[in-house]
Amino acid sequence: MAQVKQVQNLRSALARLIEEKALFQGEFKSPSGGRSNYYIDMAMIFTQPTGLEIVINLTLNELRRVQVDKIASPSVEADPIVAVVGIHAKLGSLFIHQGEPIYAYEKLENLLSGGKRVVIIADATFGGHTVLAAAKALRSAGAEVSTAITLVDLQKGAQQLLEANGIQLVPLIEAKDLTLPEKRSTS
Amino acid sequence: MGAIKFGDFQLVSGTRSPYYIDLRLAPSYPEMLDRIGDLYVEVVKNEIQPKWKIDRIGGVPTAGLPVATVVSQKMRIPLIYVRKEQKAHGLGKSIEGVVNDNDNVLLVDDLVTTGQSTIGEAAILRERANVGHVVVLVDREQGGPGNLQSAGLQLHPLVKITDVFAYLKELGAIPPNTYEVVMEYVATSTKVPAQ
Repeated sequence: MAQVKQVQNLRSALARLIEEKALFQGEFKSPSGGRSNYYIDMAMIFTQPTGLEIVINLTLNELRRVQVDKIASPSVEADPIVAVVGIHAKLGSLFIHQGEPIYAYEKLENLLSGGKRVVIIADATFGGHTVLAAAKALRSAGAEVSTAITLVDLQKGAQQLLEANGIQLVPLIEAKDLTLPEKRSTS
Repeated sequence: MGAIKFGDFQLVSGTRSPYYIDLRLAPSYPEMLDRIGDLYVEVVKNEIQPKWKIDRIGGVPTAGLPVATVVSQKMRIPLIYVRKEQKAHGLGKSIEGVVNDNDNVLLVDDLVTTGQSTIGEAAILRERANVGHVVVLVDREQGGPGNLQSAGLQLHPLVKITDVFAYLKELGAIPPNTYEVVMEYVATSTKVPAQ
């Protein structure tokens, strides 16, 4: 029970930290090309030692609930988190950028030889297309991808898109946990 | 772990090389990445921190960013990094993380060849901050230290590539003729001037 409470505390600490440090208001282009009146930059959280520690602990907590052999980053934004979480979870980390493995002279297949169950870890999810592109690359190399963890899901369709493709999205924080400017406007 | 391969490879600079090091493979082996991170921290603590206060760890995507993050976490020093391409969405900024004017930034990268890309990173960071030192795992010994020094950057490599080759030869991990080829390559390409 103490642990559940601790996780809840970490979650609300992360949510407050996002509101305080990572939430920017204004006119922004979203990754899908749409417009948004806010933007969340998770690099403002995980580049700071305190923020990184919270992110690592919450991510490890979610990884303990699933069966996993490797973790994977779907974009350069998530690389820092995946690399350090890999060390703490004692799991190898893989890097897929824009749906392409980053390795120059090594096949992704070979890096999956120690176990094929891969959990993708994203910094933020909007529509879920980046995660799906990584999942497709991993699957075509023989990986089993059924879970993706995201530090923050902005609830722009990622859950639905990924679920339709056999992937459960596990957000540490959801848009509804945050006080966002968008909630006050129409969109 | 297969991070070093022998054959015929094209480098980022466009030139060809008889060997290739891909440290992007290191995170596939978490104990290895952890140990490499400890080695970086040791060099930073022994060679840099006694004479230079470090405010930020500067990472270099793609290959250098994971290890820079590991060093940042181990030392509890905030991370910043320069984006390769500016994002079309979001804030569209070129430096990620928080950097204050005149912060001292330690660049942490995977390897140095001629030093050109490192000098480029430093130039972007120097619009805001001081960049004086660079730590890398491997110096490919192709003029990096000299070029970096001319740009006001002191290089701290964990190992030199010729030491790696000598070690591999001793272990019998590379055939003698491959050893000759790569040593000859390093010797003749050392004088490559910075563009």
